[in-house]
Amino acid sequence: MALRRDDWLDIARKVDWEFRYVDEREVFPEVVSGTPWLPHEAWKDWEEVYRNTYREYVQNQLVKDESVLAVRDALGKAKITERLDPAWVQLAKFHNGAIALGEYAACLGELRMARFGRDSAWRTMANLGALDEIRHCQIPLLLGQDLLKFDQNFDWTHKGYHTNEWAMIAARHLFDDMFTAASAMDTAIQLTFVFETGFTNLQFIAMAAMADGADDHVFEKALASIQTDESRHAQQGHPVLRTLIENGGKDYGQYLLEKMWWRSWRIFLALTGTSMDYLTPLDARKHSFKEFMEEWIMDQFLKNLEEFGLKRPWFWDLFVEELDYAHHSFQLGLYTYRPTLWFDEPMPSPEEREWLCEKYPTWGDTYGPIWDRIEYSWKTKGEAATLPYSLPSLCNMCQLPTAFMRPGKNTACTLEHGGRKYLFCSEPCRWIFQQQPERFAEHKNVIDRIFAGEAPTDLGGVLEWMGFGRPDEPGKDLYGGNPPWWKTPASA
Amino acid sequence: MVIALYGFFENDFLGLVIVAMTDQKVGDLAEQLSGWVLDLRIERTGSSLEVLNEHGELLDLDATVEEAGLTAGDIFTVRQAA
Repeated sequence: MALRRDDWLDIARKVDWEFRYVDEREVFPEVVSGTPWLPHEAWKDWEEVYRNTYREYVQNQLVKDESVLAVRDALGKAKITERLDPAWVQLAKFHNGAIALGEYAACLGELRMARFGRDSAWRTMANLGALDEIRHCQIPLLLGQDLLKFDQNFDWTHKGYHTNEWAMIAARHLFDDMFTAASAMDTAIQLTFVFETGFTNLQFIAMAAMADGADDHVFEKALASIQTDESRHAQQGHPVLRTLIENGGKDYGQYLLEKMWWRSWRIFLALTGTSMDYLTPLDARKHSFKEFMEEWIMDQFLKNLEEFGLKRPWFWDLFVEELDYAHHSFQLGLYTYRPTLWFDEPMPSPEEREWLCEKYPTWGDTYGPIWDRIEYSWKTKGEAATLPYSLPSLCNMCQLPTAFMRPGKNTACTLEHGGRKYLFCSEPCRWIFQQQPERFAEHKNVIDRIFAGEAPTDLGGVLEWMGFGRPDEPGKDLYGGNPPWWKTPASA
Repeated sequence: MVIALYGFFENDFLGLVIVAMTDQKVGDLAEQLSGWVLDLRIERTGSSLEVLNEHGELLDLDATVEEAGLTAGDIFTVRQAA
């Protein structure tokens, strides 16, 4: 008689045993398994809802891959620059460059959990998670390769993560802290509980809905397919956090959660916030970034906190305030420093400005006048008057430009440590640094490297150092300073 | 001595790196920063410039960077007087 799934599954997944020839602490050293170190007795009830077997995993993934490939076969060969909105094409380049190899790095985090996670069911799930992350790297690499013949900058899908481009340094700095240089336990809480459960819905589901609206069904299918994996392997975080809290680690859990919430917010506003509100065609914008954040991220996150008896992060009020400002000022930074990007940036059209004013009531007074000045500079003085002539100051924690000013408030701050002064974009970034200065103090941001003589000081040299080789590779104004809504051509 | 400072112009959107001499006047710093911002991203009102340190204290435009207490890595803000 064949056994039913439930009769044998736990025997296959729960294969922990007692070690006779080595100590459990030697098999699972604290430094890679996580602090506080707990005996397996504390972990033995670790469970997650999916309980996938390898066989089921392969069957499910096969169906998902076939579905993505079918859409790619049907639509992916068409010339992307002809079938899609030009700003959306930039979004695809931005997303691919920022995400593809980051997913591959996430595989390292999953594999650390697959080896040093403290229960076999956790390790089983993490093994599948590692396969997921490889898939999440393979899909954009495949689709990016298809697009190379239309736009060479799609090669940033592969090369971006290995360059010194400033945004990529910021991504690596975050991902190192989150999972490539974190214990199995910290990875489960930071990557799967905060980043994946908390934020990736936005990047993969909300963005998929927008891709549908933008008629990019290849991208839509890929994003949605990836998110089905994310929502499965993200389940590792809950039982790890629960075990930690039940064993006296509530304060540490709160700390990891606060640190990674802020760090995730910073990278999402930079990537997703700007993409949704500036690169998505107007008629494809289902909601504003702020609305998505409120509905999809904040509500769910607060419910999760309640479930675990945890507090709102101490910086919650600042975070809520930033929803109206941060990604808008960051977008101005992206546009102004466009030669340091691998994709082009547009100025917002009059219709888009109207939409921004409607969704963000302070936008018209705060950022509208700056865009007006930039547009006026294009018209009267040409491109040269719209480019930057100074280096931006960068945060010594998130590595992003300190671009979070708004009327009456500048969140930037400094800290003296070890004989030098460090600059931060905000108090939460400074607080994160202060918790572990030994982890972060030696990292040099791009500006530090230039002053230390480790990077060139001239623009051409810096761009080359950042990975821009071809003359047409650095980002430009999407419409060459002559957007379709102008009746007369720019003087540039 | 040459030091790097971080200047923020009120109502602009980001901080900029300013390489300054410690014996340079604070007023010169303000002019240097405003040259990268005024008329390009922020409208010039014609008012005089004011400089504040990280704690929001007004600095004397005739003081040197060193006399004003600005050291390497410090933040300052420049604004057009009301």
